[in-house]
Amino acid sequence: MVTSHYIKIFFLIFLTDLRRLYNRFYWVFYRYSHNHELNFITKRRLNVCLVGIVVSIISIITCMIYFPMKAFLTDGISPDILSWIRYILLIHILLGFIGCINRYERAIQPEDYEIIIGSPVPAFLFVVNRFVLQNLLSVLSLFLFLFLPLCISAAFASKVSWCSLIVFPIVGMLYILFYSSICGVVGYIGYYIMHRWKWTQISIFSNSVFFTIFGFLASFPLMSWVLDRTSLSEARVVLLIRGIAESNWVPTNLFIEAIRTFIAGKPFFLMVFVLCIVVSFITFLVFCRLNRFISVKPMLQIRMKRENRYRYLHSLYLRLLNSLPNEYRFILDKDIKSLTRISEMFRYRIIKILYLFSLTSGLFIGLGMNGVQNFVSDTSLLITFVILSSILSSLIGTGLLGVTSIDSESTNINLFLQRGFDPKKLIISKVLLQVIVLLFSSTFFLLVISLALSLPMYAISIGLSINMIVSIVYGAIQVQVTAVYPRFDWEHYSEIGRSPRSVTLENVLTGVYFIFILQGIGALITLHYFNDISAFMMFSWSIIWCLLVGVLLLGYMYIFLERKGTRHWEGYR
Amino acid sequence: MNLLTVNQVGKSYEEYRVLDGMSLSIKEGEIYGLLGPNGAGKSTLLKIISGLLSFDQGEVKIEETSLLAQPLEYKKLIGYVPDHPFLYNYLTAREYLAFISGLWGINEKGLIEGVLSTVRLAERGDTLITTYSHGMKQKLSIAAALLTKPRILILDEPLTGFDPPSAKFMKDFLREYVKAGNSVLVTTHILEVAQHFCDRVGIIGEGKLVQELDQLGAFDSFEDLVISVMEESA
Repeated sequence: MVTSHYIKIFFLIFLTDLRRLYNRFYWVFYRYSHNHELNFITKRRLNVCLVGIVVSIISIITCMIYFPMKAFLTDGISPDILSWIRYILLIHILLGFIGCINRYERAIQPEDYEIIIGSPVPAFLFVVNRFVLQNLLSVLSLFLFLFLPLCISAAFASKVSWCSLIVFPIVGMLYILFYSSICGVVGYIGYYIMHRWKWTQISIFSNSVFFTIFGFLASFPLMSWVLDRTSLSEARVVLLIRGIAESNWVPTNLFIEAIRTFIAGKPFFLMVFVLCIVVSFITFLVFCRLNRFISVKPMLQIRMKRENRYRYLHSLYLRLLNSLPNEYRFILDKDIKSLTRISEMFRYRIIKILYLFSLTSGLFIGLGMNGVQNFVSDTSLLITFVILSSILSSLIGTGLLGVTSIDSESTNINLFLQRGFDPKKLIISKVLLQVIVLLFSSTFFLLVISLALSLPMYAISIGLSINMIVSIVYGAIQVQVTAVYPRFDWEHYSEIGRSPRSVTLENVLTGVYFIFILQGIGALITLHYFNDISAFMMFSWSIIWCLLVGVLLLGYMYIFLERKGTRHWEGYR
Repeated sequence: MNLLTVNQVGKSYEEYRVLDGMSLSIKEGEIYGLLGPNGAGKSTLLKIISGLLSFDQGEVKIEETSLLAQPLEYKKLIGYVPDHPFLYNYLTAREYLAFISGLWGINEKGLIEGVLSTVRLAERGDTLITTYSHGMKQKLSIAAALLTKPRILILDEPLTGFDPPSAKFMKDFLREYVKAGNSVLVTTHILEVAQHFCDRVGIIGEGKLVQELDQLGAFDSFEDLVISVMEESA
């Protein structure tokens, strides 16, 4: 009785959240209608258009893969290809673990805390639901545009009955349930570790040390193992992962086996299918069970610091602030206060960044020590610094966006706009703050890693120069994209500065920057390798190249922002 | 007869003691106003009474149903309307109310239409909540609270954001509501509203109930009296 009630409530929450997403999608069209009503006819037309687009894409992909699939099925699935499919699915699950703590945190600190706690429904149903929905959406396109066409073309090619097509979505749904639940279990464990102790300075420090050692232990022996081989193509790590993927005991292989035996028409299929159901539901039940012991928390619990223990720093900051022009000073002052009088949300983000940084440092120190012992040269140092600076800037910059993005102003944006304040000044002060904090913190982290590896002074100075340029470019881009695509009506704090369009633009721009500087540095390394330029010239030109590409990119962003303007912000008022 | 009883409730945020042995009771058919300076603990008390916030000591019950012993039964008897209610912006009012009734397992036909008409939102029921004004959101939040037919309605600053006709309508509605044997607990900073709308008021200071006043219409200088009590307790 209780279980059936839970299932009913589970689907109610699920469908309501889907409805919210659906309405949000249509809101893009309706927000400009004169009365904001959800007009039934227009909605139906849009639905037809949307379904038409999805069906046509699926049909085209199905047609494209029909003949290869037919040839594939006629020849039989070769063990080599099968092992690659298994390998890909395992990697897909492992990739799902990235960011699962974030997704779990989003579910455990919901925006509708009051509704959840005020209702008679156990909070864990909401948490599980939200987590599954997030994962479902993240794999939906994969499911619709890859898995489904593959299955339809396989069904056509193997001439199985039309009714049997139902098997494919069922197996797909079971896989999604398994995927969500296993990611949920990992997210729960990660979240539990992060909240195991109260955040005291000692616990933060000990956790950071733990993550550094963990990262080091993960990378040092692994790299030694890889370097021990004569040829990197035979790297044991790859073989190890592929070996795991081959194992019949890995649950992901059950889903592949279910599809394979079904297409081949083997009676063995039913047994595998039942196993898939059992595995998915057991994992899901474990996830549900774990969540029964955790309580949801309200979003944005602001706690103010009661004392200012850093008086000297504070007076220094005030002196610096006073030297700035007045119109920037008050925005910077407000944002710096937000940063220092840390809210629960921001503190959490910073601690998470610190842990991620500790892990990254451990990994890099482990790799670096191997490199120093085995093969590292001046040229590989350059590449390492570029990668490390990019990772640091991405990690820290994203954490800062809670305060430094344009979205963070929310409805307060009206305070600026209605008073005729130039929005450009707001953007500049936000960029300034982001860049300064990013620059100082990434420099500090880079110094720690460099000193831990006992790198020579010239290497450290090159690293710092590259890091400075990368931090400025990344920091400026991270804030500017939120000005291009702001979202002031965010519901959950994790959405601040992370609107889908701004994230996409940021990824494109930082990706372009990263690729360009790597290509340039690669070309310089090649020239140095053939003794066309000296090491000094290689380093100097690499730094100049990073600077040049950065200036061009920021110039482009400046022009883009100028053209785009801030008129579109008004739509959010 | 007492409908709501709050007995010696205490609540701390880290070292800061917000409520310290808070006690009050509300009778059937009564509109009770909670007054006090900013930060006195009014909203905290309301959240505790509505079961949103845990407390360190004391007891809260509606008639004989205790919040600690029978939380689910207790929650059915209470309807809470916060000053800034969280509503799903991308649902329509009807969808939102359908969701809330689903959570409570309510299948009564016509109930959603009934509460929407009660708060005069029926005509905008198919509009997304994101387009609503603050007053409309308050009305919808009241409608959601009414779905479970609670014995006591708790409203945090209920008349803020209402236009005069809506405010008049809301006051009339709450008067009718208490006539049916229910009770209303409100917080407000507008002393005129407290004097003319409430049957009894309690003034909070230093985490305790400092004074209770009834027969409010009889006071000539109600405002001065309340302010002097607040200043004495500060």
